Amino acid sequence: MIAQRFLFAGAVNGIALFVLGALHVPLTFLTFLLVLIASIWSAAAMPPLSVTPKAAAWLPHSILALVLLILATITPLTDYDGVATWIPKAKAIAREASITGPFFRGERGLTLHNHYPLLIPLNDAAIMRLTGTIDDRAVRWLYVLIPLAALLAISEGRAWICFGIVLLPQVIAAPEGGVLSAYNDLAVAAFFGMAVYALDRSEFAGVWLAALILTKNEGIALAIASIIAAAIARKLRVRDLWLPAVAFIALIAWRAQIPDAYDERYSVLVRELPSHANRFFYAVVALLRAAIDLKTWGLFWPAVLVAMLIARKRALLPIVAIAIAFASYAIAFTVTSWSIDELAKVAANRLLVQLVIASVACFGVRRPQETVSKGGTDTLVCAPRAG
Amino acid sequence: MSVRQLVANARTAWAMRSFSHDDRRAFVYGEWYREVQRIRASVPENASVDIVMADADARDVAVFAGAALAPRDCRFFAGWDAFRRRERALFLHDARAVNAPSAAPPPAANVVLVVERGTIRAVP
Repeated sequence: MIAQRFLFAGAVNGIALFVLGALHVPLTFLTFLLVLIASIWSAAAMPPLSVTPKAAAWLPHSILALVLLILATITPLTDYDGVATWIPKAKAIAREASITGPFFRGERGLTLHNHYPLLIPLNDAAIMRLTGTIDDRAVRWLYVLIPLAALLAISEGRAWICFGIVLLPQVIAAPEGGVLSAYNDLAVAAFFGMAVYALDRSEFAGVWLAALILTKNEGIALAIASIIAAAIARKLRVRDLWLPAVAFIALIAWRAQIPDAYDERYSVLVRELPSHANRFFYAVVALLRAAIDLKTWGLFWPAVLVAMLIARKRALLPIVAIAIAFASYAIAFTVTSWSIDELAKVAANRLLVQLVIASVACFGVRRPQETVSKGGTDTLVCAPRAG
Repeated sequence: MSVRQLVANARTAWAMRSFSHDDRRAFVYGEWYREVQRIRASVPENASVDIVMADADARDVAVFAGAALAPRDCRFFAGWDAFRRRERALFLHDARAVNAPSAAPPPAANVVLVVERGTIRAVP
C-alpha cells in the first residue's frame, strides 16, 4: 500500500544519506537525487506488510490530509524545537552538503542538540535541495504525512480506529502542535509503530528499527524495547538486527566527528542513576498522571489499557514493547536533575506521543492469516515469506 | 495543542490566506521578524551577527532570530556586560548537559542586534 511505501522510502532515504554523510560522501544535488531514486525503487519492490484498505477508508484520510496540508502551507512553523532545532539542521545540511560541516562543528550559528540523529533533517534537506527551496515551507507536508501514513498502515485503514480513537486528539492535535509542527516525535511514533507491526508479523523490521535509531535519541530506547519484546514473543530473527547495528555504528562514528552542544551527558546520567533510584516511583506516577489528563488525551490511554488487557495474547509483542518503552521513559525522568513534576509538564506528553501509533496494534488489528480466513472485504496483498 | 487550538489555528490560517509568507510569519511571530528580514536582505550570508539578549525574556526571540538569520554566524550574549566581555551565553545551566563547544571569545561581529521587550533593533 502506498502509505507504507511512502514511509519505507523516507526511512531508507534517511538511513542511506546518514551513512553516506558519516562517511563524508558529499550530500550534493546528485547524491540526494540518486539516493531518493534508489529509496523509491526499494519501496516499490518491498512486499507490503498489511492489507490494502478499502476506498471508504482512504477517502476520509485523504480529505483530512488535504485539509492539514493546506493548513501547513498557510500557517508558519511556530514550535520551538522545529524552528530552533530541527529545521536549522536541515538547512545546514542543504547548504553545506555535509553532516560534519561548519554548522555541526559549532562554527556557524547556534546548533542545539548537536548530537541528535538526523534522519528527518536529511529527508528535509533532500527535499530542499531537490526543489531549490531552503525554507521550512518546502518540507511541512512531510510532517503531516508521516504520522498519517503510519496510522493508515497499522490500522489497516479502519476508520473507527483512526478517527474514533487515535487521529483527532492524539496525532493531529498532539501536544506542541501535532502534525503542524516540525518536532520529530511523531516520526519516532510512526517508525516505532511500524517496527512493532513488522516484528509482530515476522516481516523484515530492520529498516524500521534503523530509522528509529536515526530519528531521535529516544528512538534507540524504543528500538531496544522492540527487539526485547520480539525476543520475548519469539519473533526476533537475526536478519532484523544487522541494519539497526549498521545505523547505530554510523551514529556513533558521526558523533565522534563533531562536538556535542546542548546535549545531555549520558555518562553522567547513567553514573548517577543508582543515587536517584528512589525517584523512579514518582517518575512513573508523573507519566501516568499525564496519560490520564482528559484535557490532553481524552480517554485514549485508558482505552489502550483496556485494549491491552483484552488482546494480551494476540498483541503480546506491542504490549511488551510499549511497557518497556514506558519504563525507559520513567528511568529518564528518574535521572534528570529537574523536578519530576516540572519535567513532566514539558516532556511527558511528548514522550507519550511517541507511543501512540504503536498502541494502535493493540486495538484488534488483524493478522494477515485472519484476513485470509475472513475471505472477502479486504484484499490480502501480503505475500507469504520464506524463513 | 488541543482540538480547540487546532480550530483557532485554522481560523488564523483563514485570516492570513491572502498574506505573503513573510507577512504571515510577522503576523504570528511578531514585528521583530520584519527587522530580521531587513537584516537578511542587507547583510551577506558570510557575515557574523552578535545578538545581545538584553532582558530575561529575550531568549526565545533571539534564538528564533538566529535561526532566521542562518547561515550568518550568530553569537548570543546574555546582556551587555557579557557582550563587552565577549562571553557567549550559556543556554543550559546543568552539569548533566553540555553547552556549545568551548571556543575563544569571538571577535567583533559585522552586525550587532539587541533583543529587548520582544523587539529587535540593530545597534549602530
